[in-house]
Amino acid sequence: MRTSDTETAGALVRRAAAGEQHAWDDLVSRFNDLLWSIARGFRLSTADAADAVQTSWLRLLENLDRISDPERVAAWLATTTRRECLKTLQRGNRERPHPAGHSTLDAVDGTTPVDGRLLLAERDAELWDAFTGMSDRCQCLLRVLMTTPPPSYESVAAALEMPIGSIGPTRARCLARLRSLLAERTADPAWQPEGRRA
Amino acid sequence: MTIDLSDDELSTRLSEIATVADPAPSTLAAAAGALFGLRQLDAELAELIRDSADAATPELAVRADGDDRMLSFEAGAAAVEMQVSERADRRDIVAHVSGIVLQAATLETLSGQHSLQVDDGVLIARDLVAGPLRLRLTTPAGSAIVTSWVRI
Repeated sequence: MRTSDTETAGALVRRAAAGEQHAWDDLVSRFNDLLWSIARGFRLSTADAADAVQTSWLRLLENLDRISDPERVAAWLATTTRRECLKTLQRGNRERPHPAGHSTLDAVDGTTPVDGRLLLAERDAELWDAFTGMSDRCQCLLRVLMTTPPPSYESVAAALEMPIGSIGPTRARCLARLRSLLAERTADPAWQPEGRRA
Repeated sequence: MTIDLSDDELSTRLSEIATVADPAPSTLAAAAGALFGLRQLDAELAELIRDSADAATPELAVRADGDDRMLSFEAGAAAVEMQVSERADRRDIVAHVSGIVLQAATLETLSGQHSLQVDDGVLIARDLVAGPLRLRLTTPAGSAIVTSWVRI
């Protein structure tokens, strides 16, 4: 754990705006996984997701001393990343191979979400397969909710452009759907929705 | 093991799986940290106010001829209109700067800077590698304007 874990996001933004690299690094370590989850929730390739996340950080960098409410920087970043993802999708880059020699992320490989499946135990792999077979909306919501550390509902709402009050019910519906998909795939009653099990 | 998982337990399980199956590339956070060195405090920001590729602002989206992307930046009276043409992984840009007297212009990418020839407020750069880019513009008085980063 970093010493800044007790510091508010707003304090980190203000310190970064004052020129402290450490505060910037702490912002990155605190929210990079959220931005990654959002980009993957939009089903961008590894390279496109990395580009969208990087562009979002550049956007924050040039707006460090302009953000109207620094405490809500996570939601600001989530909105920014959402827009970058939509731009990428609109430009039809979704399946395009990444150009060689690009930016500082040359080391990023071209793996798809499914490749990581090989690292999973069988049961978890079934769960992941079922997840990747869900609707875009459910996948996006659940993927963002998979962020470590767990994101605030405000950030989730910003990433999906949905009312905060809808997140809980939508999450419940998506998880129920996931259980149904798993039950179909595995004929395992253990995945039945809560309340329907014996 | 997975019997009787509650929704919260199922969510936790999914989070654990995501960290194994789909982690952010290790280079990504380091690269984001290194971006801090690109901060420019001496220049006024010309914000991106229009982008034909931005689905979030369709009312502002303008289409140029063909598939060219049009970007508009503004800082006070200064305005930059940038047209981006795409050829595979290469990009050509033509930018028109108005509202200020332009003395010099620099094109900045994450890997370096290149001076651009200024011709009556028009800047041209060809055969650029796709990726983040911004323009730094200076006036004869020495004041500087830098555009928002855009990924072309």
